[in-house]
Amino acid sequence: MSGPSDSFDLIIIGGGPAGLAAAVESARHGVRSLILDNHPEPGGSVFRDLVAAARHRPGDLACFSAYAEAGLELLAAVKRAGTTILSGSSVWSVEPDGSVHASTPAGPRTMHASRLLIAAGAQERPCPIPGWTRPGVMTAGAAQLLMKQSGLVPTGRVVLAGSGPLLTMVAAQLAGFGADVAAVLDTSTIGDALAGLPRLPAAVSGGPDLLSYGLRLVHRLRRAHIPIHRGVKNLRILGKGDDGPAETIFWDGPGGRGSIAADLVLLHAGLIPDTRITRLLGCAQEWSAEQWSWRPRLDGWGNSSIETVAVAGDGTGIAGWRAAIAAGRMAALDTACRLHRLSVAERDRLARPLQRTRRRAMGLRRFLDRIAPPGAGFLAPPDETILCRCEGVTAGTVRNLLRDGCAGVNQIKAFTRCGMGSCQGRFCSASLANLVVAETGRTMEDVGEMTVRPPLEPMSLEVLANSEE
Amino acid sequence: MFRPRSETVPTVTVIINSRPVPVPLGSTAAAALLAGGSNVSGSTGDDRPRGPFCLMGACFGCRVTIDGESGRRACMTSVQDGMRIDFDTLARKDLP
Ligand SMILES: Cc1cc2nc3c(=O)[nH]c(=O)nc-3n(C[C@H](O)[C@H](O)[C@H](O)COP(=O)(O)OP(=O)(O)OC[C@H]3O[C@@H](n4cnc5c(N)ncnc54)[C@H](O)[C@@H]3O)c2cc1C
Repeated sequence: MSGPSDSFDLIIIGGGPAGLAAAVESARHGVRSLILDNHPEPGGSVFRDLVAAARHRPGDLACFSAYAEAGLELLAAVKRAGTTILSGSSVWSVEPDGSVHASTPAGPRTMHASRLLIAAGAQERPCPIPGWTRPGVMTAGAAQLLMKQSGLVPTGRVVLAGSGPLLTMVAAQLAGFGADVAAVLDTSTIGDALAGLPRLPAAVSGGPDLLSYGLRLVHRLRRAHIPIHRGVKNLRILGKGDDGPAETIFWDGPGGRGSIAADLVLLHAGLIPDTRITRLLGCAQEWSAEQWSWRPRLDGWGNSSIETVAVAGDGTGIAGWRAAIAAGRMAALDTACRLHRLSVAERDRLARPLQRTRRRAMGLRRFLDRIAPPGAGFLAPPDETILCRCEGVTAGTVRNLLRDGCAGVNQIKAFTRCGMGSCQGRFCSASLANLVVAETGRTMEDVGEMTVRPPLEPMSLEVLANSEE
Repeated sequence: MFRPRSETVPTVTVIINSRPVPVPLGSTAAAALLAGGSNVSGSTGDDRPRGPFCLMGACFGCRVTIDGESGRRACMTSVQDGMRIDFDTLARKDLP
């Protein structure tokens, strides 16, 4: 069933910086849009809990000063624009004709739009190491969310391990919140830092404030005497019994073997775009060796290889919230132009400053990508490591299959159930492809990714049955 | 596991496996689990213990029974006063 109320000019999937900014820009040009987001509150990965924090714990906002103001302003702008945001609504299927199927709090709903904007964001890169499935191991982003959303701080000793700006940022934020941060284990090396130097000037002019914010965080860790071990390898987490809570993390480093007791281990190795919706739609994808992840192939406005579908934000490659806002607005401008609400000249004029913002953000990002690549250990973990958290498939099982001549990721999936659990590959698909590449020496383009099938999000049989009507 | 940074934040009370637990207003049920001292909230296809891991709806490590409805991601559900959260160790059986 679908009536005029289910018909829009533009349906935006994802209520993060990209999606929200696209809605604001659309409204300015009379484009009727709708936002669908699966979380209880809009804002996406970085702005989501700011409103709650501002209301209940205003003192905490200072810790998120780098973006709190921008986030609150954007959320207020969407409100002023009057765009409907369907929160708590998971999109489980999308079709190239502009049909969107979602399970909403009010029940299943199918909507339709002339154009779709996929602004589904990114997720943290899976970090498969021995012991990463133990209770007491989480992602760095998860701990950050608990601070931001609820003002919660870990009670015991915390160790952060992996690479990337978020690792340092969360360590400093945790320390600032009074957590006992025992160490930061960084897989990136001095060599990585040196290799980044040629990109430093573009980073300095691209995001001087964010760069100096980052340096302040590192300084804060130093001042708090939190040891940062660089160039660590062979991370492994041991704990009670075979799969009980984490107790100790071990590593090999330039200074030899190390170990440290931890009640909570936080892993992070950068972000990867969530490409499931565009892959389901059949949008052409390309491999980025720089960011070690797939992304949809797009033109400068975010248009995909499918006529009706544009993509914006971190789901198109990691560039941060500023770039996401600019990209969301550009996609909205082009949509307005295609729907004849805006002339080409006007579109181009309005886009100019946005293009500049994106270029600057990329200047910073290309530096960060180079100094903090994902650790080699995450890409080719030892045999005993669980790759697929849902089905308990180990790296060893996959290596055996590869030795027996099983070559394709979809074939491995069928044999092992790797990627067939409830997360549908979101925490193993990338790791499986990495392992196949590492073992066989084939290219990522050749190996490809697991096929995405609906439903993208789990749903009850009742929703499925209703949607058939 | 996790504790509120400040004692003065407004809270609601949820019932985790029959035990009342105060949690900061605006939290998700996953935050409630961690504030209540549980980092094991279920198990997976291979029957190993799992707990909240990504908190962004991707890993399904925090699936629990909420107000009688099984298989729900705690991290995608906002707490309400009096909400009942029960561990769902048979998560896999509930999948369609
Ligand atoms: C865990 C984490 C922590 C981060 N921390 C920081 C930080 O501290 N500082 C910083 O500058 N940047 C941080 N980032 C990066 C920052 O979040 C992004 O740069 C920015 O949010 C990108 O905006 P976006 O709109 O592209 O995506 P997002 O903000 O991720 O928004 C995408 C939204 O789409 C929703 N969605 C996805 N699929 C569906 C679906 N099928 N149905 C319905 N809704 C869907 C998602 O749930 C999400 O709400 C973090 C990212 C992550 C993942």
